[in-house]
Amino acid sequence: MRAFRKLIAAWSVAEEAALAVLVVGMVGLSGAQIVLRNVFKTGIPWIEPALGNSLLWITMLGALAATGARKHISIDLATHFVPARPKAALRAVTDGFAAAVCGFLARASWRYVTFMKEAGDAAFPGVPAWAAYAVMPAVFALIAARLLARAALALAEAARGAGAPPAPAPDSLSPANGAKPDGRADA
Amino acid sequence: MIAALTGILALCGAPLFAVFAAAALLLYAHADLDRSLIAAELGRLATMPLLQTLPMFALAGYVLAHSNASRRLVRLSRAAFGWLPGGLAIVALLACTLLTAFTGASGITIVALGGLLMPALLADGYGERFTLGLVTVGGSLGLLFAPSLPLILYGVIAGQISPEVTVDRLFLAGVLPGLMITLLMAAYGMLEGLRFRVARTPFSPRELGAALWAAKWEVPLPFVVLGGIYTGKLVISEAAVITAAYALAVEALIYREIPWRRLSGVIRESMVLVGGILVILGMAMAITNYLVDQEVPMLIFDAVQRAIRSRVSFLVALNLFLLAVGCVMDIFTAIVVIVPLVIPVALEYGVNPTHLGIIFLANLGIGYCTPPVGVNLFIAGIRFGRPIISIYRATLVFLLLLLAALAVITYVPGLSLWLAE
Repeated sequence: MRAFRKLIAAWSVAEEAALAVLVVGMVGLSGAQIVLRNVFKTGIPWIEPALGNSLLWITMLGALAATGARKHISIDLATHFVPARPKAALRAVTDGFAAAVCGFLARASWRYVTFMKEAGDAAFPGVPAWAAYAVMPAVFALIAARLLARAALALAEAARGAGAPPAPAPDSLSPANGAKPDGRADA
Repeated sequence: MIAALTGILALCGAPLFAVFAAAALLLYAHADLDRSLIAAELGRLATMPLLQTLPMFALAGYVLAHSNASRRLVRLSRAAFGWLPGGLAIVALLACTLLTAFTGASGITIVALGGLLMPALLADGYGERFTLGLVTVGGSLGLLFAPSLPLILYGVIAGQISPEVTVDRLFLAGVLPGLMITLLMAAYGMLEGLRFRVARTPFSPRELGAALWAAKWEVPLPFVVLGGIYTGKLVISEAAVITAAYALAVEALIYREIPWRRLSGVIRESMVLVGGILVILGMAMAITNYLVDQEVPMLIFDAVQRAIRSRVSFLVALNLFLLAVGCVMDIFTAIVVIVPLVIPVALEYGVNPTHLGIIFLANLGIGYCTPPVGVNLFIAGIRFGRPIISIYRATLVFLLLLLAALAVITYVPGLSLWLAE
């Protein structure tokens, strides 16, 4: 169990580090592009596609982190008006549903990646397009796994009943109300 | 049947991207389209350069919100405007507006500024109800000013349907309506200041100087960014990168209020927002692709046209619809999902799509604070530890004022279009 916890903590650090590298890299690359364009009247052609693909990676890793922090955008009327125990059951249902959908998405995007591999295009020099797009099936599979684990936990909680609900209810309302140390990945 | 089930799951709090993904998967299966096309639409995010401004501005906004920039901002505006009647109320408005313009997502404004402004306003003698209403509603002011993320998102999506819409023009279009709302709120704040006989702080050039000096690294940021954007000297993508790099440099290197160790956490938090929005956008693009293919916008137009004849009644109906949408859905999802369907219809009624953008944002911003389920109401309730009913009451007058402003914005297109054209 302890080893498992460690693994999860290490994973969370890796996820955060990957996002930080991507974002700081984007700032650096586009900054360089601006200087090159305006001062030296030139540019590096691979920067544009690299930035575009970074955005796709940020989108996917951001979505993965949002799953961990329970901060996916949702409508979420229920969290405010439903008592704790049925709420856990409800969470098990919605998480299970989302996990299933993500499973299908992983398969669909894997198909897309194999098509791209056959086509053999390059995202930018040295990097084939399929490798850049491979982030989609990988992340959707991870999200599915994460949601599935959480659905199981919620189910256990609903069955057990009087457990303190660990879900930060206000946070799941909107991804936009940060300013406090956000919850670590909980599954 | 499955569609209804998915809808119920959405209302129960299933992540919206999964709900839209389910819809896309079902629609594509129904139309015998290959499912991999959904992934292709998501992958198209990589080919839309304007979207790259979203993580940049979001990063800057979160970095500013996590540093003491808000403290310095409040001190500076207090030194500049505190002597007016209702001075601190106006300070609160300006601070909220500026921070929301930069963070776009309005929840964070309440969290970052509310704790600072609420006790100060109460200590100055403003009524509890007014104060609570002000800090709650304050979280959705400023959406119409550059570089607001929802405005950029509208520009990206609308620009694909109607090329005359550009982010630059939207930024210009938002200026006068945004100013009108700010002035209206400021006037109300002044009245309340007089009503509660709030003592005015005398103007002190020395304090203004000291406050300016304390914020000397941050004060240039809005001038560089907004000045650059509004004068056309900076392309929006350049402004975004400069804002992010500048905010990082100032808060992490100069003030050192966000140590490197915490920086990755702040980055992660801002990218949770960006990833959450963009993954929904990807799924919505897949759905839109199908709907446009099936000519659904034209079907909607035909249906709407039977009930609604004139442009004015179309706008009335649109306002009611968007207000309803705004109170159950967050602004980003609403834009991503509804804009592609509404724009073709609105164009048929002769509504200018740039003007439409301002109408959209004004509506959805109000929806944030509309009972029973406006998101800001809950955030404020939790942030300030008040029951939700008292928040409803507190925001009532503000809501009425905002609705009046919305009516003007909707029925006087010139207000939005004068600067943009």
